[in-house]
This record gives sequence, C-alpha cells and structure tokens, in this order.
Amino acid sequence: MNLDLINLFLIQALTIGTVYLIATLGEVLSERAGVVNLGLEGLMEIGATVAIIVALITENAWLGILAAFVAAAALATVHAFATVSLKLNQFASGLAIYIFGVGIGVTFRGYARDVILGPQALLKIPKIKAAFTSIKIPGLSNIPVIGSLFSLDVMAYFGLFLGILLWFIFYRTRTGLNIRSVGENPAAADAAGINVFRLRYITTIIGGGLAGVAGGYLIIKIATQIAGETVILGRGWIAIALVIFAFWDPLRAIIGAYFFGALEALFYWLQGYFGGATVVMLKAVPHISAIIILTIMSIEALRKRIGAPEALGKPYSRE
Amino acid sequence: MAIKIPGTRYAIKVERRLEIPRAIPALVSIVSAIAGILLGGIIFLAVGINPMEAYARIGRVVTDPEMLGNAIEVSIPIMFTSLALILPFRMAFYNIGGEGQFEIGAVVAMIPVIWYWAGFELPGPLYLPLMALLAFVAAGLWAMVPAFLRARWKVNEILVTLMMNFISLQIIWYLVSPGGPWNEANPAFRERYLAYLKEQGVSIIPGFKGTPVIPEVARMPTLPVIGINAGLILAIIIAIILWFLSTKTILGYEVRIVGESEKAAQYAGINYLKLVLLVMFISGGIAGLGGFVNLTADLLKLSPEIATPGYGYTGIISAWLSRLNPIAALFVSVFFGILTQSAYVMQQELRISHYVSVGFEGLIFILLVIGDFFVHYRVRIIKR
Repeated sequence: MNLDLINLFLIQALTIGTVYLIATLGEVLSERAGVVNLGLEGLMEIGATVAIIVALITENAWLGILAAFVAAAALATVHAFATVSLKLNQFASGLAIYIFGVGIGVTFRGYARDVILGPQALLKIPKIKAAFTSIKIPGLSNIPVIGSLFSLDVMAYFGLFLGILLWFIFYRTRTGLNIRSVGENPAAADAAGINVFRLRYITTIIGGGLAGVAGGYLIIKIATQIAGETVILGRGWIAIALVIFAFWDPLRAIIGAYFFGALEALFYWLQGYFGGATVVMLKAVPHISAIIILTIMSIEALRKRIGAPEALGKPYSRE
Repeated sequence: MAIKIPGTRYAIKVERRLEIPRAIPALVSIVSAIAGILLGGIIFLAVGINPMEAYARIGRVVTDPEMLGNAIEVSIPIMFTSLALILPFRMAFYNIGGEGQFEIGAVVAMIPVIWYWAGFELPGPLYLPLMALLAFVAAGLWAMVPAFLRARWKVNEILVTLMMNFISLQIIWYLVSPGGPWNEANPAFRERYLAYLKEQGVSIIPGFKGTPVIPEVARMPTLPVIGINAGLILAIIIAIILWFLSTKTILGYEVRIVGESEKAAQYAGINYLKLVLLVMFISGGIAGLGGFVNLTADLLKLSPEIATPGYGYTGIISAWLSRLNPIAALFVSVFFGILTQSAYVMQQELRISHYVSVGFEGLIFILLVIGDFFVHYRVRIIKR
C-alpha cells in the first residue's frame, strides 16, 4: 500500500472531520442550554455562501469565515427569538431555518457567481485557499504514515481547541454550570438567579454562528469552483446526529466528528480504486452508519436512563 | 403580560387564548404566504435584484393558461408529498422523509418497465395499477423503518427519516449510473431499446445516467379537456380518503389523541407501536404514489433528477401551511406549484437559480412558525 495514499486519506478525513467537529460543537453548545437547532444544514449553507463571496471580494479567507459566522449567527437569532422569546415549536422553527438557509444560500451563491463576481473571480480561489495550508509541527510531521496528523491547517487546530475549550467551560467554570443547569432545569436555574433567556439566546446564536464557520471552511477548503448547487450535502444533519452520539460531551464530539470524516474520506479513496456504479452505494455509508449509531445510542440511553439535557426542546416560561 | 408603549397612554397586552377561534390558523397561513413573498422581495432588493422582475414572472405563470397548466402539473407531486404528511404530523410524528419515500416509490414502480425492456412483457392494462401498487407498498414499508425505531427505542424520527432520504437517492445513483444494472446502456435492454429508439429517429443509446424511457403502455394518461395528467384525480381521491379517515374512523381518533398527548393515549389503551407503523405505512405509501405519478407522467425515466425539485421538502411546508387539512393541502400545493414553476421561469430569464423557490418556501415557513404565536396568544393594544 502506498504511503501517499494513506496520507491523502488522513488529510481528507481530518478536513471533513473538522467541518463536522465545528458544526457539532455549535449544536452541543445550544442543546446544552436546552435549544435544539435543526437548522444546522441551512446555517452551514448560508455560511458557505457568505464565506466564499466575502473571501473572493476581499481576497481574504478569514474575513470570509468571520462574515459566515455573523450571517449564520443572525439567522440563528431568528431561531432564538421564535423558540426562546415566543416559546414556539423548536422542531418546526429549525426545519424552517434549514429550508430557508439552503434555498437562499444556494440561490445567492449562484447569483453572485453569474452576475456579481464574474468569471475572473475563479482565478482568486487558489489565493484564498492558501489561508488553509497545513501547518507542520517540526519533527512530528515527518513521521511516516501518521505525519499528516501533525500537519493540520489552522481551522483543524481551532476545532480541536474549541472542543477542549467547551469541555473546560462546561465542567470547570461557573458559566458552564449555568448553561448546563439551564438545559436541565430552567425553573431551578431561574430561581437561582440565572438569566435563562439571555443564556439561551447567547448559546443559540454562537452555536449557529459556528455552523456558519463550518460551512465557510468547507467551501473554501474544498472548492474548485463556486457551486450553484448545495455543498453541505446533509453534513449538517449528520452533525446533529453526532451530538447524540457524543452524548452532548465536547470531547466525545471530537471522536465522532473524525470518525465520520474518515467514513466519508473512505468513499473517495475506494472510488479511486474501484470506480463504477457499485462504489456509488458506499456514499450512503455515513447516513446508514448514523442511523445505526442513533439506534444504538437510543437503546443505551433507555437502558442506562441517561440522555439528552432534561429540558431539551422545551420552551421555558415564568408562569 | 403588558408592555408599555413609551410616551403614550397605551400598552400592548399579550394573553394566552383560552379557545382558538377557527379562522385564526387559516388567517395566519394566508398572511404568512403573502408576507413571505413580500419579504422575499426585500431580500432580493438587498442583493441588487429588482423584486418586480421576479413578481412579474409569478404573475405571468398565473395568467398564461399554458404556464398555469404546467404549474398545476408541478403541483401534483407536491399534493402527494403534502397529503402523505397529514396523518403522521397530526400524531406529532415528524416524518421528514417524504422525499425519500417519493423516490423509493418511483424506483420500485420502475421494476415492470425494466422487465419490459429486458424482454418480459405484461398485458398492457396491468402496467399502471401494478406499478402504483408496488410504489405504495415499497414506500410504505420503507417508511415503517423510522416508525419502528421510534416506537421501540425512541430513536429520533426526524434524523432517521432525513438520513434515509440520502440513502434512497444513493440507491437511484447506483441503479442508473453508467455500469449500473438499470442504466439504459445495459446490454440486457440493448436489442429492444435500440429498436424502439430507431422508431423515434435516434440511432444510438447515449448511456447517460438514467434508465431507458418508459414505454407508452406504462405512461400516465392525460385528462381530456384540461390536458393535465390523471395523477390529479388520484391526489383528489386520496385527499377525500384522508379526510374520511381522520374525521370518521377510529384511526383518525387515535391519531388525534396521540397528537394531543402520548401519555393520554397510553392511558386510553392505544397501542402506539401498531398505530405509528400503520400511519407511516399509509404516509410512505402516499408519498411513493407521488413518485410513481411523477415518474409516469412527467419524468418518463428514472434518474437522479427526480430529486432536483425537492418535492418531498416542499410537501412539509405545504402540509404545515394547510393546517393538516387534506382538502386545503390540494390548494396549497397548487400555490407552491405556481411558485416552483415561476422559479424555473426566473432561472431561464433572470439567471437566478431555481432554488429561489426553496428560499421563498423557507421564508413562508419561518413566518408561519412565528405566526403560530398569534394562534396561541391574543395581542391587544389597551389604554393604561
């Protein structure tokens, strides 16, 4: 077996894993405070669109990522308003955000490509991609086979850092304890003087913004052109499933995200070997795996009587 | 709760409605649809597209008889995908898998056609009924998977139904890709298919991603006078059956009880597992019939393009907007058919992706969700 191929596989797995990781962590944050956001897929699509347009206009990938955060956070604010302030159905609101995000995201990306940016914008793509070239850790990155684990790009390091940071916040800080208590028992948290509404707003907005960052990173990292079709391709939904897989724990989210990154990379890898129609079926492996994992986790949760934050999906009102 | 309006002697008073007047949900639906279209225009304006250009296209689709006919044709698959969701949504089982159930229906309906091209022919009148039956049963069984997982182990049905949409599309890709078993270039079809194509004035099999076309004998007939495919009649019949099921039968009663409270249903002795399996079999079956109609009336061959319009997703919003009333769902589907058709015109003439209709749908959905506030609460301006 060829070492370069293994390296390529690892790089792809880690790249896609990073997309999953950032989106999953965003959802973990908002669900820990009790708000399910099913709009992840749409927020990622909006993030992708805003990121690529802003990055190409400013010729700066980081501004693109920042804009993606802001745009997705703005849309997540609508979700927070509907579910926290108006106490409406979180599933319905999330689905609406999903469909709106995909529709508007794809439409405007296509429109920007055809009308605003013009064909010469494509020439700038390699330049903005340069922001995500890998940073080699001296020494470790030269180890055969696993060297690529130590030559990640900035966003991959950011994802890992974010996972550890969230874990630290949740389990080692006052704020984290407050977030968790708002998700478990908002009435008790309220009685203890915690501002339930404010905390839910903040976590939902930041969580949504992170989904935008994941979408922005995905499109800038892998784009060879500006796609006029959806680029997220269900990854937002897998990220939501990963939250359950991780049992709302940021560190477990890291494992899950990379595992699904590897599953997806495996497909590209096998495609190179076999080609043809049969391998096409393998593209469904992540989705089949997600269903199996969801089932196992649900059985596990029933058996051990553990699971989601107690108040997840339930609006809180002081009455 | 009252919020003072600064500088005036008035305040906004919000109170929970004890009883929801019948007209309110319908009113909120209508206002959401109109407001969604208007607000969409403002978003257009923000990125430099003149919304009037877009509205003019919608206007033309409504007024031009031929375009309106096309829009109604487009609305037929939406009728099926929205009707499919009425029973499960009524029992708070969020089936988001209409898209996949629609696709599975089309895939399995294709089996007799594949036999046909492989040289195994059935008596002509058998084709459509057999294909419809296969589509209903296969899609119904497909939809029972998430129902079982939810009833048995509380696996989140939204995620499972959604994941299954990706799986069904991948099944289509596998079947019809070059080299796949149902690809039109498969040597098993070669002799008969080439002879058929020659009659049509084509001398080679291109071998694109897709099956051979459906022969005339297995195509959905067109209704006389109005010139719309007969799938419309089927949709109307299903709407009437659903209306009957939900208002006049024990099934409808049990669905309503579960929708109000799963706990209460348990005390009432309702077997949730049995009920949800049956409801999802019917639901998936209806969506599958939609796939069968779309295949035999419009697409005429199975290919991944079946997923392009996203009828399954439009059906979610259409069902919600119609307040889960099957008769209303027919009309709401026509509204979305017009929107979808207008988006195709915009794509051709304004270089805006046809996804624009999805954006409008999402916007209407968001407003509808927020509008729900006014269904449950009364907002008044009072004097302090």
